[in-house]
Amino acid sequence: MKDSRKYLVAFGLLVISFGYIFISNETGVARIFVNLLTFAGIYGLAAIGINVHFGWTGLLNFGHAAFMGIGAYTTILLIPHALGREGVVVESGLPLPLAVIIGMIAAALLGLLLGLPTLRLRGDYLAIVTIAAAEIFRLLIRDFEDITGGVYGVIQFSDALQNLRPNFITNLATNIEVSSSQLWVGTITWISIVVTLLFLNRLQKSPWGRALRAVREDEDAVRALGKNAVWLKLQSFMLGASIGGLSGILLAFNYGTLQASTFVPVLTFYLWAALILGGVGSLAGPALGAVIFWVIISGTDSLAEVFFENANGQQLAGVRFVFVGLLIMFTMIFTPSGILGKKDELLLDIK
Amino acid sequence: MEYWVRKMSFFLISNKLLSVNSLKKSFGGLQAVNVDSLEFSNNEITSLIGPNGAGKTTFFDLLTKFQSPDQGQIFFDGKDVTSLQSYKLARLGMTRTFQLTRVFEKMSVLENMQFSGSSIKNESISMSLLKSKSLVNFEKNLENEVDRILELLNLSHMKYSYARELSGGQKKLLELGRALIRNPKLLLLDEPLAGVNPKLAEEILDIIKKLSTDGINIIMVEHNINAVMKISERVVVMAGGEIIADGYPEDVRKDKHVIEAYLGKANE
Repeated sequence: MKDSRKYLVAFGLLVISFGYIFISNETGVARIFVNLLTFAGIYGLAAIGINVHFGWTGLLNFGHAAFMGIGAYTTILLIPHALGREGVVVESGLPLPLAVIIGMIAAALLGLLLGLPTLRLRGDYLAIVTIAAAEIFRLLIRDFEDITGGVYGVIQFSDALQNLRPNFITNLATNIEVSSSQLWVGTITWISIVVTLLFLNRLQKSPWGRALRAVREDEDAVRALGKNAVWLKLQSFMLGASIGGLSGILLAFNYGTLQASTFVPVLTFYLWAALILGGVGSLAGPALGAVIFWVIISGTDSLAEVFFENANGQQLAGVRFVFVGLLIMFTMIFTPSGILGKKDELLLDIK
Repeated sequence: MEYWVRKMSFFLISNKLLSVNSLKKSFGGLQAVNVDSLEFSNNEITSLIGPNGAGKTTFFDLLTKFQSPDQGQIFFDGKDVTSLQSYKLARLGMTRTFQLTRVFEKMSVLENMQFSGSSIKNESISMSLLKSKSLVNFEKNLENEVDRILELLNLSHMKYSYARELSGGQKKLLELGRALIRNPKLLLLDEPLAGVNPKLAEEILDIIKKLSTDGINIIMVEHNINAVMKISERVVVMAGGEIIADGYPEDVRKDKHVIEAYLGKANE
């Protein structure tokens, strides 16, 4: 597909999906949109991290939830919060920006820890190790109740972010009748996406980005040309992990509570769905894919009612993923490189 | 005692570009490579020939450290490189190509060349983010160098094409160019003429010859005997993992062992 046509298709899809949500909901449309775009942004940001791994470097990471989780837990436990069944209040803490940076570094370090022994492996082996590591991480979080609050999780940490909310956001939220705290999280999320994409755009066009693409194509040739392929992969793994960490932090603030059950493997697969829909290897593709994914998730209820009379919640939940599956199928058939992907760099042919 | 033998052997061979000492590699029960001692001196085109399965490519892999030898030592440019990793060895000036061409298919010809020629320093995240003047200048000079080499290889018209759009022969040329831009001291070519049409093969041979006169040392594995005889100054013949002949092309051609290795023993 030519570039201009590609963006036209993307724009058309957005108009159709937003229009659909607009028509199918009589009340509270603004609230639905803010909710949708916030979740989509958070998922999009996480998918951008996977894109650095897979789209740029060819690393199959199926454990992204762990990077999101460690980022979230590190940051939230460093700021004022309440913990566990008894809700033990911890009032002292680091300033939020510092805690966020430490959270992202923690995610990068987990990437280093996972990467060191595994990045010498090829494609599918890495996938197996990452998915297992993510589950180990989640279960550890769940069982170390003294530190992480266990199944009861962490609560009452949102103030650190909400205290920074500017007045105009609060006023806007009141005017359009949406949750002011979610509007603020959503705004920060999309600012983070723009900043991350500007940062990645610079890297993609640099010698470093070029070296990652070479690693993606052929590691042996990279070694033969005197470049340290393992180190390049490690760097990419750490960068993508820290982006995942940031999105995990935002996810925690969006929920307002933090629980281990948020970071189940299926979260990672949603991110992959967004990435494949949007276009592997393209910069903005994952964010677009995440928006479309969330339109389907939050917009199919009314569509399902066309097929089932008086459908119950469980049936509706099933129908959502039928639509996600169908859309991925159509994407694979008609534009296999995703909506914004480059056809010439189609990356789903893993060796 | 063994230590001193090693030390002594180091002095003895230090004027050689590349040498190996009792190099062995086996896969299970199969002795793939068993080379007692072999030296390559400066300013030579050496060809490594032998029947299929003779261990030539494995020998190449050992020299470039793509595989580790079971025992033995490798010296390159006066240094013991036996325990070095392949990419570090490549940084010392030993560059190889592959039997099955390995170009970066989904990158342009230009990018293939740029990646190979770019400096390690510029490939760090911090340098890439800063995009300093020196980096920009380096990349600009690099592109000029790429243009010069593509001209030499008759690939200028394909500069912006994806590498996978090239023909088989052109890919071989690109791989050669990618090695050249690194200014190697020693070039190891694994079947540079395989699957290349006779006319292009002729061109590649000319280029190899020119590189040699420019001072690059070349070792190549090749099956095309005519080509080997034409351009090599020295021919090494392998069979069953061992060196069975080594010398001037004319002498090797007449060697009884070589004829046996290729055609089998004559009935008595």
